[in-house]
Amino acid sequence: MAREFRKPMTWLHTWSGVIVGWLLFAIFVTGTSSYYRGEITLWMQPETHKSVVSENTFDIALEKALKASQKSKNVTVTLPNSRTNMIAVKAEMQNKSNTKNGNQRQKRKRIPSLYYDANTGELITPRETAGGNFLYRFHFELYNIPRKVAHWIVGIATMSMLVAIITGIIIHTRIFKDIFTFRSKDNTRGWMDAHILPGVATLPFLIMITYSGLLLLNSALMPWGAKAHYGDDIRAYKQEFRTLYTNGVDKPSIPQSRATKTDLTKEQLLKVLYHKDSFDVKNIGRFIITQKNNESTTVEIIPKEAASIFSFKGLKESKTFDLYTLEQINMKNPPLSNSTIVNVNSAFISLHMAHFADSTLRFFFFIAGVFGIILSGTGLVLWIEKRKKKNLEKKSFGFYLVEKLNLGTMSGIFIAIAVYFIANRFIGVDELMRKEYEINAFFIAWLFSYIHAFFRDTLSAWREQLLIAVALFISLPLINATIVFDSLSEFYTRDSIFIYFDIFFVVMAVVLAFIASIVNKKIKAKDLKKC
Amino acid sequence: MLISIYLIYLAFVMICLGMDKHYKSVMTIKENKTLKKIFKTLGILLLTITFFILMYNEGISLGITYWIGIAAPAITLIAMILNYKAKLLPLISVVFFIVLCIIKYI
Repeated sequence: MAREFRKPMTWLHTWSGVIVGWLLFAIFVTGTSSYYRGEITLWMQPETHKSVVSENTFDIALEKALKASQKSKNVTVTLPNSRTNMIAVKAEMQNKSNTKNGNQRQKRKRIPSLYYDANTGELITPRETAGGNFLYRFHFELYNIPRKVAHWIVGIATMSMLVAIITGIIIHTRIFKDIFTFRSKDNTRGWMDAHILPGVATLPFLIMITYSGLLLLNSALMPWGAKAHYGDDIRAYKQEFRTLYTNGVDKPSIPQSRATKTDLTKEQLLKVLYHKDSFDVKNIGRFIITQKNNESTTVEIIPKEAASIFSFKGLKESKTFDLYTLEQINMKNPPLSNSTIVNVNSAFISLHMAHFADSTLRFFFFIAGVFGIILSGTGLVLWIEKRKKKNLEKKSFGFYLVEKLNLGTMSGIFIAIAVYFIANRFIGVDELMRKEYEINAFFIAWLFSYIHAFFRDTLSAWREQLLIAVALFISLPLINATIVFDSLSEFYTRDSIFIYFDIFFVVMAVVLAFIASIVNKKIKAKDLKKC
Repeated sequence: MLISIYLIYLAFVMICLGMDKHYKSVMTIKENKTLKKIFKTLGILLLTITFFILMYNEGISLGITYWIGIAAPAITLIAMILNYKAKLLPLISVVFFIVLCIIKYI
């Protein structure tokens, strides 16, 4: 009975995996790199590389905050942390604008953040780049495809992944007994182990990332519930949903002070930031100065370190103080909603995006993502390995297609990412369409690896493409040093974020060189057989 | 955090030593049922303890996330050692401990 049940499950596992396998591989690669979306954008803006955190950083941030507060009533200052090396100041302006029905209302005009050097306080104007945002958007919206269609494509791939995970659990009966089993053999068994090991080791992560991915796409995949209640007014639905996220927060008490603008001084601001009830000064990640029409001025302090997974986007923990009385008037401690449904939803979404994760936890998420890449990659190779003998007897087009697509997708995406990074350094800073050129370079490189795959013997093409990828990744730190560094000492004086990038490029080159050497051995063994 | 990472790794080492095939590939001493049971129990106990330590230190939700996040590379590392250099597992575990101590005090 069990065997009979497992047979169709194996079939389902194979086909739900292989049909969308290439897309899943690309989604996993771009999604995993999205854990470092901000860092990738920083790396792709060399103008930001000289900013290093120093003793002056806090003072500079205060000065910039006060200066921005002269013009704006809502100033957000983000201090450097393990993920950014600059001070970001965002000053929101309120403009009166006419609405359709003629009434005047306050409309918030979004102003992009200004970035300052954390040591000198100089304004940094970074070059335009798609940066990490392109990879991030690609992993759920693909590129240049209508958003709804893209969401459906990615949604179907995600659902297939979920099916593959569940069927994988069913067909792999010895999950706990074989948890440490890995045999590095060049046969189906070896590839099977290489597929099962990352799958079992990161099983909770894989279930979480796939299920939460579906939840994130819910408005595209299951719009009917909202439509039945709100009709076509999706905004109303979103607005109501948004209020549910914070319905558990107490309203801030109204400050007693009636202070004027001139009272907003550095001393007063320091008193708030060093307040005994506030967070440790070293843990201050962001502060928001809000002036309410000369009635009161409040400072909301948000810590660097999140206290729970519910802390993401605008739902982070914070303490708000009145600037003059120095009284604590509000405190947010996520989860900020009373609704269990909303909290479950936000826990999944937060886990998917890992906004709460500091650099250590983020690294574990990244590793889990890498395991996901290995899982989908080895799954695709396994399909080929299992059918190799059969294909020798009778050539099949399906085998040929999967083999070539495997090559073009797997080595192609790494070549494309390396080319994307290199293009960023070579495309002129003043180039008007440099963002588009970077993205074009990514896709052209990827397309070439598909073309190369189809016109060359598969094993040789694997070796060549992997060697190209090795050369590209190893050249990246050198290109970066040549173009960005003013002096060699910058190699170690720069922020550690950029040092990690160089380490990553070298590690990638080593890993790809290792795979290339395995392929090389295979080619030699094949040649010997022929002789 | 580094201590938790090591304890989770150590817990999985113990659990793998409590398994027949891995015990044989790592240990030079004769198979001993009681010893295997002790390893297995210690491993599970250590995993449970680290689960609560992480929840206590990082908060419930972050603690669980860390625990799952650390477990994946720990399992893979042990699987790799067992495949390539099984006999060196105890030695590598000691070296790993020393490396983490050095990182901690740098």
